[in-house]
Amino acid sequence: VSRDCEDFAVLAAARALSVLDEAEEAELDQHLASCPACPDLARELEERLAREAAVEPIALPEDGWRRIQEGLARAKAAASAGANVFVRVRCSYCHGALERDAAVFCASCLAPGHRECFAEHGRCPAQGCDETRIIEPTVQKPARPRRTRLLPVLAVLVGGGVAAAALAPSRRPANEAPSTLRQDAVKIPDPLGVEAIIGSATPDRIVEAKERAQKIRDESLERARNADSEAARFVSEEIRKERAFLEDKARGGTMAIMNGLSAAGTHPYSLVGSAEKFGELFHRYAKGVAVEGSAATSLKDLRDGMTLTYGEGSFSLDVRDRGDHEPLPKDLTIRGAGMDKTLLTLDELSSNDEVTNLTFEDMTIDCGDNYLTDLRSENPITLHLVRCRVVGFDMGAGGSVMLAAERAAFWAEDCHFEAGYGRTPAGFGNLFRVRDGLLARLDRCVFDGLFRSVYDTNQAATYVFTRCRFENVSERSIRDTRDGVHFEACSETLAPSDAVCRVKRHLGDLNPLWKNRNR
Amino acid sequence: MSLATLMRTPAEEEEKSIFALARGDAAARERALHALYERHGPEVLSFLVRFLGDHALAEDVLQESFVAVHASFDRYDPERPFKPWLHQIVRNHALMALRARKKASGLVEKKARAGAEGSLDATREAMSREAVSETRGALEELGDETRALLVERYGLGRKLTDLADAWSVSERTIRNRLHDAAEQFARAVVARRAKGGPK
Repeated sequence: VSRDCEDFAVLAAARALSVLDEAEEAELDQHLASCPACPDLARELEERLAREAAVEPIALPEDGWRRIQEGLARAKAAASAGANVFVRVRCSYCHGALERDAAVFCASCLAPGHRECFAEHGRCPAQGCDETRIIEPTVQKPARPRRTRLLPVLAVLVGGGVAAAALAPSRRPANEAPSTLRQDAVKIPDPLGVEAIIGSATPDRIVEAKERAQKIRDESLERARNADSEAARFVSEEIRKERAFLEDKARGGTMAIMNGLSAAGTHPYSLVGSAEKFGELFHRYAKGVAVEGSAATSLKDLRDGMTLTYGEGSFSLDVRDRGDHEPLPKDLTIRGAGMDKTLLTLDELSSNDEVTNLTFEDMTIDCGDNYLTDLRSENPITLHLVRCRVVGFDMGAGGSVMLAAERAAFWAEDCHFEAGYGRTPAGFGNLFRVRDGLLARLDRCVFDGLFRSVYDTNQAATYVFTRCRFENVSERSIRDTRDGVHFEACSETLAPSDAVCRVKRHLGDLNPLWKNRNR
Repeated sequence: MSLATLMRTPAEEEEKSIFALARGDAAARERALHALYERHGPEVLSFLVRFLGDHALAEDVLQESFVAVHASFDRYDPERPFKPWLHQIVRNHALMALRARKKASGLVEKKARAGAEGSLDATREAMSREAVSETRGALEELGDETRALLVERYGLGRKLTDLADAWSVSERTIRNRLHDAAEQFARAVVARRAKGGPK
C-alpha cells in the first residue's frame, strides 16, 4: 500500500461514514477501479468498522427501571438532607471528587485538579490553557493594607462623581421628574469618612481614581441620555410587529392559517398537498402599480403591491440597495418577459423581516454565485416562483444553497432548477437548507443536473413534488427520503453513478445575448 | 408558534405529551421518565455497551443518565428534539465513567510497576501490554470522544444535523470531525496491516 493509497483508505473510511462529497466519491471509485491493492483494504476497513462500531440491539435489563427508581430515591434523599449538602470541587481533568488537601491549581488559570492528573495530562486541562506549572495552596498571607484602603476610596470617588453629576444643573424641563439614576446617586451614603481616607492616600492614586470616576460618570450619563430613545425605538418596533400580526390575522393571512392548523392539529401535508389550500398562503391583498424595472433606480422606492417589470435582455437587481433593516414591500411581483428572454441577476435576497408574497415570474434568475434567498429570520416568509429558471447558486463546496429559510412557505410552478452554472459546479449545489420550518410545493418543475441535494432532509420541512421531472440527477440527491417528502406523478432520469459535473455551464448557452453575463 | 411545531411527526407529538407530564408533580415526572426510558433505553444501552465495552458498566451509566435526565427536566426545551439532548447527557456520563475507570486502572498499574521494578517481571509485563494492544480493535486507538462520535454516526446511523445538535457544534464541524475520525481509523488499520498484525 503506497502513501497515496493510504490517502484513499482514508476516503474509503469516510465513505463508510457517509461524509464524502460527490467529487471525492468519484475520485475514490476511480482509484479503486485501477488499483489492485485498495479494494481489499477498503473492504477490510468496512468490515472492521462493522465489527467495531456497529451497535447491536440490546434489551433493557429486567431490573433496569427498579435501579433507576432507586437512583431517584437516593437523589431525593440527598436533596432533602439539606444540612448534609456540601459543595465539592471536582478535578478539571478526571472530574473526580477533589479533597481540599489533595488539590493543586494551574499557575495561570487556577483550574483545580489532582497532582497526578496534571502530570498525566502534561499541562493544564482547561480549554485554551497550556500552562505546565502548578501551584499549591499555602498559608494565606495578610492582604496589603494599601489595597484595603484604595478600594473604598475608588468606590466613594465613583459615588461622589455620580452624585456631583446629579447636583449639576439639569437640561430637563423643570416639571419633568429626575431619572432614577440621579435619585439613587443623591442617596449614596458616606459612612466611610471620605476626607479621612483621601487624606491618607498618595496624590497620584487620588488623581488616577478621580479620572476613572469622571470617566465612569460620563459613560453613565451618556447611557442615561440614550436610554429613552432606545426604549422608544424598541417599543415602536414591537408595536409595528404586533400591528402587522393583527392585520395579517384579521385578513386570514399566513399566520392565521398557521395558527388554525395548529389549533386543529392538522398535519402540514393536508395543506401543502392541496394546491388550492396552499395557494391561500399566497393570496395577494395589496394592489399597486407596475413599474418598469430598468427605470426603477432604487428598491427603496417600491411600495406594497407593486409589480416590477423587465423586458427582454439581461438586468441586475441589487437587493441590498434597500438597506439591511428595511422590510421588503408586501405582495411585490418581479416579472420578466419569459424564461428564455429575461435574465435577472440577483444579489443575495436577505431580510430580517417578514417577507409577504414575494413573486418572481417569467424569467431566468441568476443567483450570481450566491443564495437566491437567505431568509433565516423568525418571521414568516412566502415566496412564489412562476415559470422561472434558477441558476448560479452552486458556487462552493457542500454549503451552496438556493434557498435558506427558517420559517417559509415556498411555491414553484413550472420552474426549472438547473445546476452547473455556479462557480464550482461539481455537484455541490443544494436546493434547500431549512433550520426551523419549510412548507414547499413544487408543481411541474424540472430539476436538471447534479445537485448535492434536491431537498433538505431536516425533519422540520414538508415537500410536495407534483408532476416534476428530475433529469440527470444523482440517485443520492433524491433517494434520501423521509416522512416529509412526497413525490406525486414525477419522473426521473438518473445520471450514471460515477458522473461528475466537471463542465461548467454558461448563461450564453441559454441565450446567446446573455454571453457577456458569463462569469 | 413555529412551523417546526406544526411539522412534528406523531412520535414527536407523543414525546411532547410525555414532556407535558414531566412538568407535573413528582409522580407525573416519574411516569414521564419511565415512558422515555422504555422508548429510548434500548438504543442508549446498545450504544453504551458498544462504546464502553463493558455490559455492567453500561447498565450503571444507563441508570445514572436517566437519573440525570429526571433532574434536568426543567432545563429541557420541548421545542427541541429530545434525542440529541439525551445523547449529550449519556455521552457525558459515559466519558466520565471511562475517565474514572482509566484513573483506577492507572493507579493499579502504577502500583504493580512499582512492585515489579528492577525485576524480569517488568519486561514480561511490557511485552504482555504490547500483545494486548495488538489484539485491541483499531477503534480503541482513537480518543474517547472521537470514538463516541464514530459509534453514534456509524453504529446508530445518526444524521449530521442531530449530531450537530447533540455536540453543540455546527454541522460542518461534525463533518470535519468525522473526516478526522475516518483518517485516524484508516491509518491505524493500515499500520496494523504493515506490521502484519491480526486483522
